[in-house]
Amino acid sequence: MKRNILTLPLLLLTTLTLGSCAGTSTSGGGTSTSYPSIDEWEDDSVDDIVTDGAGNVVFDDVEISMWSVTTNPDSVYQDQIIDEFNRAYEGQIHVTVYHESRYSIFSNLVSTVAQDPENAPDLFYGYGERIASLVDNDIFVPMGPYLEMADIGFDRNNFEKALIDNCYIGDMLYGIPYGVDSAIIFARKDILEENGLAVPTNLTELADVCDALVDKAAAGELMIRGEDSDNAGAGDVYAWRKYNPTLEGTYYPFPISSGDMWINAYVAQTAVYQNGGSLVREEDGHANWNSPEAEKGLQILRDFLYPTATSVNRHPFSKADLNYDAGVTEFLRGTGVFKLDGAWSGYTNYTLMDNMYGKDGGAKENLAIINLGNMLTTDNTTSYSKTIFGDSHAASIVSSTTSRTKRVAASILANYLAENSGGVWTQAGHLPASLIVQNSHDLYLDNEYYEKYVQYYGSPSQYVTALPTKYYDEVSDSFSVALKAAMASTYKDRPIADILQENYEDCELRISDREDL
Amino acid sequence: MTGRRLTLEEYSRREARLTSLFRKYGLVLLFTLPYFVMFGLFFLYPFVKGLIMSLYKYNYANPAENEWRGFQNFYKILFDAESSYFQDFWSSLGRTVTVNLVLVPLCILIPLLLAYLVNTKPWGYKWYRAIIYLPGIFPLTATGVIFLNLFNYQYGFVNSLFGTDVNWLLNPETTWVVIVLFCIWGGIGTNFVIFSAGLQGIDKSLFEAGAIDGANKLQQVVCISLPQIKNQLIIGLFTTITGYMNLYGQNYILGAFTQPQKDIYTVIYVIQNQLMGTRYEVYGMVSAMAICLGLFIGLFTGLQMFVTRERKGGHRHAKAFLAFQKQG
Amino acid sequence: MRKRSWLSRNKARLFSTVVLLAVCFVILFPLVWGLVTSFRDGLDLQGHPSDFFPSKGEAWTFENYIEIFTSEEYPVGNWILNSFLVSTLTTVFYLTIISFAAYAFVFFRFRFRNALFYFLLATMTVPGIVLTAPQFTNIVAMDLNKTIWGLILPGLCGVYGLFLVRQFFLGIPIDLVENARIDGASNFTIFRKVVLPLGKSALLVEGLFSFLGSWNDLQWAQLVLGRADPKQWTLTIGLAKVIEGNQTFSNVGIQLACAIISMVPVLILFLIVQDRIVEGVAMTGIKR
Repeated sequence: MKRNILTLPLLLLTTLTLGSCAGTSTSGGGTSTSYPSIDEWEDDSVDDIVTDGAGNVVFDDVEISMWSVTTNPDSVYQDQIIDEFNRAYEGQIHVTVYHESRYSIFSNLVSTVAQDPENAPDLFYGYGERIASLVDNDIFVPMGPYLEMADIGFDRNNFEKALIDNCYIGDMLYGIPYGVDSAIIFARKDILEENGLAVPTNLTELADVCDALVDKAAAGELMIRGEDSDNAGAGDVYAWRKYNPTLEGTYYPFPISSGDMWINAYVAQTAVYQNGGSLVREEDGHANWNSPEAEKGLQILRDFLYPTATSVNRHPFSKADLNYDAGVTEFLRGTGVFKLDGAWSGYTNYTLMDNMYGKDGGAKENLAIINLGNMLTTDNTTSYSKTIFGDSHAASIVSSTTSRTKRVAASILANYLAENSGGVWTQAGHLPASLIVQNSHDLYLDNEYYEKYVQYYGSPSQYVTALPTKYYDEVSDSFSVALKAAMASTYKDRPIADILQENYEDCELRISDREDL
Repeated sequence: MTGRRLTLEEYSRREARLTSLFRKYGLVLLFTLPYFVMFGLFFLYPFVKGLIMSLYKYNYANPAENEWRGFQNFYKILFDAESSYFQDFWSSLGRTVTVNLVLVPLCILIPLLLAYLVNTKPWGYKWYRAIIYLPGIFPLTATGVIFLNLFNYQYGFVNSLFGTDVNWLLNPETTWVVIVLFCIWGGIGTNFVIFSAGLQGIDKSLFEAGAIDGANKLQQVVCISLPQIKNQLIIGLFTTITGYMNLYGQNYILGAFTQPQKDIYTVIYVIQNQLMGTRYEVYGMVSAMAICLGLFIGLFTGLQMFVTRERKGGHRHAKAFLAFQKQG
Repeated sequence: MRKRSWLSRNKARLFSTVVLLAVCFVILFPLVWGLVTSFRDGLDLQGHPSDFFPSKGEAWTFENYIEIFTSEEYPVGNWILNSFLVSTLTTVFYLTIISFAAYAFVFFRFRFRNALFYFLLATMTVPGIVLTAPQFTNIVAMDLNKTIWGLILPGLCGVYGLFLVRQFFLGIPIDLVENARIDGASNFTIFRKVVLPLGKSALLVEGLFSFLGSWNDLQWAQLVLGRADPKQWTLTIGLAKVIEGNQTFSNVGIQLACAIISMVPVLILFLIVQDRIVEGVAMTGIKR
């Protein structure tokens, strides 16, 4: 009884609040782009700027927080950079960082900004592709004006075009891009050389090399070496032995996981772009991967697992239906020659090979690093055959920060991260978005890690990321479903065009359902 | 208002009634208030809000964009065959109900059987009790990780042990098998304990009376002990149904690599998918979907309660015997 | 009367023993495998999947555990303490309020008593997910975000515990209470001196259920504490992060070590109280 009495006013209260909210709908409704142009934009922050005599902003022990989508191992490197920043701006600005994985950080960001703005971060370090949908929901504010207040000369032309374009919504800058990374192929150069094969530079060569490896293995003439090589725990990694096909079974030179991660995150998308397709339709932000070009790319990938009479490879590269970590043990033991790994694993793989074959030239002589350019298309003459699809990082200022001083401080931090996207960030395997950094010897080209592995990652201008669209979730989710189905053995007889069409229709349905909510 | 003055008796009686009433209700309030305050604050209030949310297009990130929708969300989920919400909800509901039809009987019968076995007090029965309950105490992520690796295609032990070459976690059919096994493994504990305790609590003399009447062992089991633990069975059924209609965690962990993944979606899984990512306007729809699920759960449990209700004269034999025994 | 042979007398017990042994073996198998493999080098597992135990001496390793316990970003000790704190507080508060409420439901007569109780039972059919988003807003509005109270308080509204304790109270002979009343004892005294001592086992059982529910909770804990300082996390949150950072299968050992670590404290607690569980539940009687 008491309950009834209490609930009633609460009920009324909540209805009233919601009701009043519904009344004041802004033009920022789901479909219309409410992005202000540079002349219309109004600064909604509280003006608490203190300037010194020369008009420079003064920071007095300003505390700002940053949320970052980087996790182990990137987060370790990023923490180092933040520590340097804190030392450089001691007494003025202090930053605390919080790391969380991409799976939950976006919904957390949004719920915190909406429900708990005091605990929301000031700067958000996330993915460039997501900026559009977050701006659409008023999560980010433009960065340009605050960079100006901090007297930082920001020039759009100093950044890779593809990456900086993602950060411009309308004609205002909403974030600064830092770098880009993707998947890389690591290869056992020592095994290739011992068997008289050259490191491949394009798909045809890769297929030829893999076919040769399989043929040799089947004939019992393939020389391999590695950890636990003779399966009896002898453990001499330097000793060469012949691969025994009767005992060890079919030889798979390039194990690829089709269940998750690689195919999902970079490889399949790269295949689409290298054959002339794209993921997002520029006009309306809907899916664009239902195309013959995308089909061609996925077919090449499918052929890796299930070669046909017309495929570029005769033998399968890999077993089908493998999961996340395919290729790791094989790479170490020599029972596989190629493996896919993230660009950020460059350091780990390099050190691993260095330690394993230290007496034999280390990683320099035994490890080959191949980027995906030209690797997923048979036609190397097009302008797009070297395209690599990757993730790009960018930082933006969060709208829940009401203090103008903090916004300016955040913009300074964002710029600092851009200037420091060489150095230790290069060790992390990221290619810098800033052209200044790219061309600098100090910051980048003379970096020891650039020499060791990053130089093989290709040029940042080869990289693309998805066009920003607010339908990012639907487009990318449906594409993942489609490509996993294309690679699964359950559906290997189903034409890829059908799979793409079915999922495209599903994607369109979901987009329209969301718009109709 | 009569002009008559009350007698002292009447007056004191009336006073006593009033004060004791007040004291009684006051005491009830005192005893129950803490719980009801918590319940009101942390269940009713969010629940009502959730109900209200389902009547809106609710943008979690930007509440200024909320718009009244009435029952439109519910209509789309339950009746609009063209919408993806309809398809998602009904297909996943079908799967959820199917797995419940398999799981719920198993999670009642197996613990019941085990309870009977343990009731015969075999050697070390206390250990058996503890072990059967054991898997249920662990967090789902922990045991899920163990099962995930145990059934792994590349290095899982199960394939080596049975010499099979099944990619357990790829095909939806086999993944469901693993999920059901996992649920049973972890889920029989609670019901087992309840049934076990129930069986222990049965008056032994009932069995003797039954034996005298000529009932054999099987008849004793079915006709005597089952009715006596009827209440445990009912409550066990209720909690099991409610629990497994909300199945999610097990599917999420074990179904990570299944192809096509939508074949292992349950209703809660579908809802959780909508909540990830940046589709913030779907919160109202998501609330509505959850409420629809709640309605179905209520329907099933209501049905269950109706079917198993106390019928007049249900326990008459047992009751009569016990009454007779008390007399004598 | 001819004495029946030992075999025929104990037929049922023998049968039970055999079946139960088999069942327990199957139940324990995954747990043992998990335990053994957590001491195993991940690469060894990949290379020799058909071996139950690590194939060679060197593959036995404490490395997985060491890495978790000594890593600076994983203050596991704090996590365990936090989990204990949250779970204990939740259990203590919960047991208190439902004991009082259950007492009222059984020993006081007031209108709508039964209807109210069935209403509470009916609310058990509501899927928890309906509440999650509004509950979070609730917590934030009450300024309990990122505190352990944000974890504890929402856990105090469960109905199942109330149901169980009420069942137990129903099983207490009404004469005891009536006699005490006639003797002039106040309700508080009856509660303290008559009802509670009788119900130690039942309360222990409900305490265990409540403790486990709180300890094993992941989703809500992540929402409330996930963005707080890692030292404030509970064990489930922390280990979920560890697993997240070690998703590559060459780190199976670490994943399993996490799993084992999260299981050990509850296992210990369970072993201490498991003896009383069936007795405790038996005392609830579950009569109508």
